[in-house]
Amino acid sequence: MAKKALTVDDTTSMRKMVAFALKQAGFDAVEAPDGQAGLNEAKKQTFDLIVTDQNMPGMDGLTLIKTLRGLPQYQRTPILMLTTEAGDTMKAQGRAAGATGWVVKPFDPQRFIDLIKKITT
Amino acid sequence: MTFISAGYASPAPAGTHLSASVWAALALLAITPLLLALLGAMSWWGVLAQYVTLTIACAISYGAIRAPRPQAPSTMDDEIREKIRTTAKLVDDNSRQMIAHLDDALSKLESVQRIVSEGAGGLVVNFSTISSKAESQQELVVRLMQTQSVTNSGESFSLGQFSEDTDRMLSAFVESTLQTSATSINLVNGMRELREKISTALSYLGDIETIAKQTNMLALNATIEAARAGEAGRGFAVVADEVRNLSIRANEFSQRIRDIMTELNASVLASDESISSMASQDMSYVLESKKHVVDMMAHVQSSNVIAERTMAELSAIAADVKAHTDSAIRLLQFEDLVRQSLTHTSALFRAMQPAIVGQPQLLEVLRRLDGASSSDTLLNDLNKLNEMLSEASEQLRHVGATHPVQQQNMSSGGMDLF
Repeated sequence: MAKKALTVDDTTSMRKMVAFALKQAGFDAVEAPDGQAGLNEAKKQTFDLIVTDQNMPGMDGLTLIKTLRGLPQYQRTPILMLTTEAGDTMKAQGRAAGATGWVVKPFDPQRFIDLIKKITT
Repeated sequence: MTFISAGYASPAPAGTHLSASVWAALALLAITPLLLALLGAMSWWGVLAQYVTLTIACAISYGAIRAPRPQAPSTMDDEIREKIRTTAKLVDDNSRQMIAHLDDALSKLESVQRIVSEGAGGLVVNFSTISSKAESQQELVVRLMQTQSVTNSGESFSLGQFSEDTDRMLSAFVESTLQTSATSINLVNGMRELREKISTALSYLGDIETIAKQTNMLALNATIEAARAGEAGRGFAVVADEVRNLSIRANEFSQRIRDIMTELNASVLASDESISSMASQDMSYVLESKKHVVDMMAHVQSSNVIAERTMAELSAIAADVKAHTDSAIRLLQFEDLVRQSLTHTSALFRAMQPAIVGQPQLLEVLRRLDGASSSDTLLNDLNKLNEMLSEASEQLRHVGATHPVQQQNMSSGGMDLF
């Protein structure tokens, strides 16, 4: 049975690209268009990996990560931040929020797949 | 606040300063036309007209503020008041136009976002599909190459090896056939010698039969002479009879042997014909067939080499397609970067709108500095205006300070694990 991954991004094409990369890494991908929708999905089913954007309407990525880390089922789940934000301050905030890693857009699909495999095996 | 109190509540001291909000509003008045021109929402003539209007308005307003004021509110010169009114009207008109252009620009930005989003979304799906198909194609080629090199039993196999084996087996078969042909020719020669020997034997049997006949004749003559001798020849007559019987038996044996030899000769003759027929067969077709099969196998081998090379090229092409689609997928993320930049630009435009709305309001207040309005009313209006412009300034500063997209190109971004 394939592992499940959640991709949260308000840009449709980004969600599709991440879902494509996740599929190539062997995951079944579920998409959510913003933080709140992502949180709702994460509560409905348990995911093995979560990839989220930072800047989204409503709930942003950092808030989503903090909220997810507060849930018992996501305390050890790999969560990647995939964002245009590349500043050290933001990265430090991501680390403090509980992100597993920080990926700056645009991402290279193959490198992204390798990273996913690395943190999920 | 400062310039209002300086103008009416007390005499204006030298070096009176404008408030920060007014400076911000004036700065906006200066920057906004340039921004609109850069965005294509206003022509350069419009920008020029805006700047001329702004300069006049500022000059008049600043002159009004800095000019020594009488202790009591005084009335402005009618001509100046008229000029201010005209300027205020122009600024108001320009502000309305700028707001309209900003709205239009915002609408266009949203439209661009939609179009880019739709196009990029479709391209992502297409490139993802191409990438998947290329990967499937590569897997098929690899499987095909494996099928060509491994048999059902799992042993390694190659068409080149098959060709060599076939050639070796075919050569052995042709060699064997040629050997059989040579043996057949030797057999034909042997049969010929055998038939000659049989003929010789049959001629010898003819001699035996002749001797037997002559012996029989001699015995018969001996019998006649014995009878003529009477009693004395009786014993000789018995011997003559026995000799005669022997000659008859010898003749009978000879006949039997002849019959057998004749049958043997017929059999040898039949075998000779068969062997001769086999030996006389043309072996050239075997050699031609062998050459044909060798040529065919060489062709098959050559085709196999081409097929292997083609499959390797196909595999390389598939890998190349995948690399390019991966690159395309990376580049297609421009949509997200552009969308965020456009969203940020839209936020900037929205933040500019209150500041632009403040321009005619500011001029209206300045126009009323001629003393027609009470100080309280002016103060109240200026407070409201300052509040609005402060909020606008704060919003502009806030939006301007946050820019979500720092990327300067489409090179892939960094990846950090915590």
